[in-house]
Amino acid sequence: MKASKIILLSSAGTGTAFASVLALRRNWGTSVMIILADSNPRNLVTSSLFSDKYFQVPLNNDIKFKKGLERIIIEENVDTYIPHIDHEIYIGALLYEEKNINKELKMQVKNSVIADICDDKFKTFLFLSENNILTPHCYLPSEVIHQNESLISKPRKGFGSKIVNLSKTKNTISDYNSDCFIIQQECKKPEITVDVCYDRKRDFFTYVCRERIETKSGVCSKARLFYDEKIENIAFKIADKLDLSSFCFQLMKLKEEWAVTDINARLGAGTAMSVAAGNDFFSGMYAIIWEEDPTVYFQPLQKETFVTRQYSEFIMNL
Amino acid sequence: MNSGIVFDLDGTLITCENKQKFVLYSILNSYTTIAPEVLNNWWELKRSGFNTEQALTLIGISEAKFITDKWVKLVENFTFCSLDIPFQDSLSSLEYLKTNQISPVAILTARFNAPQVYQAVSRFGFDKYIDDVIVVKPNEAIERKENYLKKIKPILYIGDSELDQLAAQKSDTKFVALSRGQRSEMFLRKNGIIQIEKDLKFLKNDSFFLQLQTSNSNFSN
Repeated sequence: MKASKIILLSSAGTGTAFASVLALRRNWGTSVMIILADSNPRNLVTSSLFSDKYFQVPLNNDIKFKKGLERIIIEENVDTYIPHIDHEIYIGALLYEEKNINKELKMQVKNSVIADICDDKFKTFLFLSENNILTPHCYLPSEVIHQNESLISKPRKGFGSKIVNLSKTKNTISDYNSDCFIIQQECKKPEITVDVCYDRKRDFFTYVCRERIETKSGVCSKARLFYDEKIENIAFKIADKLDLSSFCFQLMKLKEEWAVTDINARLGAGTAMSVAAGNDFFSGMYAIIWEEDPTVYFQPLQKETFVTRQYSEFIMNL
Repeated sequence: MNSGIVFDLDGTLITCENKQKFVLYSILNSYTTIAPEVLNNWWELKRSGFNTEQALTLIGISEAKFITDKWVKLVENFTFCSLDIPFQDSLSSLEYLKTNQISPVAILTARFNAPQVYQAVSRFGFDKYIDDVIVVKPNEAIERKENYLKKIKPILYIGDSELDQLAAQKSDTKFVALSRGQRSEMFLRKNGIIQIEKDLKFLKNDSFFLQLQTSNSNFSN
């Protein structure tokens, strides 16, 4: 039986990619061919247990990564490419804009400007400010900062919050490089991640708010799932302005109002918690990409729902 | 007087194919390379009546016993169970029964991991329409299912295997088999089951309940 679709998932070692692979196997079974790419060897990537082919590639900050990705897409006749790390989304969009890649290739984000807005937290701040979406004020360390409130520093790019509260460290702002860090107004908890699915063609929009009650290594491990109209409006505005269909973003409180602290042009590792509660954002994402009906993958929450997660163990070399 | 309908879960209300296939795929992928077509051949053999180990042997997989032992250990793992999804008509059929005041409507299934079943029933929205969920151990499934059916005396038990049929027969419960799950129509037919359906559409047939309540002769036990 020939696979109806050939899908490449990069950053395959992430929890997000694992949940993405499960969604494919759950709803498309053996009818799709799954190719994985990651910087780790196959025997350290759990999702490889469910995949049909595996490539070990350089880290995405290595110049060879983009070339390697291009070669896999062309040689394996990939028709759908899903990266699971923000910087790879940006590299993927850049590749798509170059002439070598088949323009029929299905991807979530094909525009490198949009990918860059979500990859670079300072550009995220500029985008949100321009669109009147409340966000904590951001500075580059090179700016002269007149700010009485508490400040934090965080990397301009990357995932898994590596935040430093400047009032609780000996570091000064001049210790930070503007190319790598931003300085941001400190927000207050709770921290909410919002999973979003927006199919513009079918006029279908849904979302789930996840309060991060506990996080481990930057990933939510205990969550409260709920709906909130104000957050819904913010989610729709971001989806509409950035033309994103399946993504997540983070919110915290700033002077008692919800402020957006980060946008990911992808679903997150914690999105699997929404899946557990009947909202399969991963399958919804593939349905939109392949012009199928995403609505069948969502069961609206009947009540505020609590989800916890535990690790699962897999022997990788029997 | 008998009342209500009891459903099996796996292969009846939710799929069981992808979970079983990808448990096997994950095991094989951890020490060898196989073509995914192998999964389809193995699954068809299972549907035609072979057990996991026999089907592995028949498709030429060495160490079938070793793989089967691993497979049994993994098949109720939370991750793999997340590959089960409801059949398209399951939720609407349960809703239809509730709307038409058919009561009780219950799920009677054999699993080692009962909390997994309760999670699935909630995740898929079945809990809105179900009055009871009973989970029995797979190694004593026929007897436990028989006892439950005897206790609540439903008008019908719907399942997908010859084991479900046996439990229905022993408890004198009418049985309808679905051929979309663990066993193929041909296998179910060979086992003497008379009413075999592809899906749950028959439940919405107006004459069905009348027929069910007035005659026992059209149904196989």
